[in-house]
Amino acid sequence: MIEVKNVTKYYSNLKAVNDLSFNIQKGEIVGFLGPNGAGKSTTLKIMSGLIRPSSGSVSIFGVDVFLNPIEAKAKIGYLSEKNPLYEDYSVEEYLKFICRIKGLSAIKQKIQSVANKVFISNVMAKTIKTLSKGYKQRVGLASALLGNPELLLLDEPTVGLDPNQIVDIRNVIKSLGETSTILLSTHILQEVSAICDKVIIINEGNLIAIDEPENLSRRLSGENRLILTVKNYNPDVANSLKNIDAISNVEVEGDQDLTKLIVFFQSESEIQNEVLSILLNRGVKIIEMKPDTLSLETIFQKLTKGQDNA
Amino acid sequence: MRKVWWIAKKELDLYFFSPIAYIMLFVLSLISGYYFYIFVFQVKDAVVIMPYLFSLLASIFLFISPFYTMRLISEEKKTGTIEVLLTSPISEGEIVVGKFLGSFLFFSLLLSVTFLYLLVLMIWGSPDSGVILANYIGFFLLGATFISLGLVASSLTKNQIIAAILTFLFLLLFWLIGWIGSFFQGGLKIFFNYFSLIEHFTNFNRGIIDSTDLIFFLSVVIFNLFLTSKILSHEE
Repeated sequence: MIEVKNVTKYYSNLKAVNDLSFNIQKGEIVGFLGPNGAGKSTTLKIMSGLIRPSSGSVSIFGVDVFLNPIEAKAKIGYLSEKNPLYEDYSVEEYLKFICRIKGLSAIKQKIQSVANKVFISNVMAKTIKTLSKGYKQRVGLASALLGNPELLLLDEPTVGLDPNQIVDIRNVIKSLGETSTILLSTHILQEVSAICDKVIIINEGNLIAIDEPENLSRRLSGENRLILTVKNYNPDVANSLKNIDAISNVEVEGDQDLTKLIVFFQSESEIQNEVLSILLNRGVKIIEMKPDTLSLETIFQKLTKGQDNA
Repeated sequence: MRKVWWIAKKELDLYFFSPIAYIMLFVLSLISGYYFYIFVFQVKDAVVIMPYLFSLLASIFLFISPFYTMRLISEEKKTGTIEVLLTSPISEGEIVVGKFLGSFLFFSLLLSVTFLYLLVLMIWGSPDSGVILANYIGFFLLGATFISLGLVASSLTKNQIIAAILTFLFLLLFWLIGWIGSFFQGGLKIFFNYFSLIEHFTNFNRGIIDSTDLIFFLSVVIFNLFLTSKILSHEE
């Protein structure tokens, strides 16, 4: 089990992580979610032993990262957000170097095996700086995988990649989950629902939720919006609309002369016709009606802000 | 210990990825070759030619060593590759010693230019082997000290140029500290002289191997490596 216990981190006066505690079970793929600057990278850096927390402890399968850093680091594969590489080396030379400082033996087979896993066998002889961003990301991932670490800490592994590359890397991560425990930071919600067993959400250094993605997506992405601009509005309308099962909420803005209705409804339902007939029956004049799908990011932002105020 | 060697090898590899290594080798051969030629034809005494050359090389290395030490840590901080090392199962101490060793090997390679001059002297003259041995030991220690000071400077900044300037200032300070001492009397004079790199190197240059000088250089190197690894472990 991986235990993060009461970890707090100050950067001079700025509190980046605030009394954060969570556990990860062996074999889980956990999504680490939060807006930019929430403290995800800092937490991963602390877990990887790269930086020390101001207080608190991290234990990786029973090994304390700060008391036994070498032993703990041998259990961890870390892919940093910036994915730094020695770019003058060829892919093969670089992976050899990583094997050597990890103290691995049977280097050739190990490199070949990870190269196959992340599909870089065709670029092994190329100098890293000549590779595309997607390939560099895979080289970074390959280096994290060398030595079959029990825990993989992946900081935004798909950031900056094109959609095809994103799908590729996600599939790789999914397949890695069969053998390793993975903590994966991201601010892309689809990523989480696509690959994770569990989700940890933090915001401004605070833990907000630990949940399974099904529950989370119900909370986060179950809603679409329908925006209507109407004349002759009366408050009855909103109540009738709320009686429709698929509609979760109706917000009303403006005055009776020109009213804006925002109807929140389950994303998979078709409510337009029902809404229209209710409005027409009550003599409301419709000026405009348009669907508005909230981006997942926006919903997430709402949730984290809401949680923050609560 | 093997990991130290792999770090050292990586540093050595990196030197030769850029043209600077070749330029340095070329420039050093040119300058030292020119002076060797002058010394041979003007001094005409095989015993003193190598000490003359080493005392000149000491000043040259004062200027060139910042160029091969500035990159050691600052560049890794700038590109972020220091994270690759710091998240691997290897201690800060091993990283620093590896980097020191890599740079020291490069320095040794530069210094190997002088073997050619030594060979020439041994064929046509009769240099004093004791004096020459003392000079080589002294110069390796001096070079190691320069590198260790460069490592400290390089660990303090992400900017290579600042690291180079800082190294040069460190070196200049420890080079000229004896001159500062000459303005004082008694204890202060002894104190300043003790930290003077020239003072300690001069003994070797004269052919004297004194344990005081050996201990001085070695302890400065060890202290600087220790300091660098402490700076590295408090990296944020």
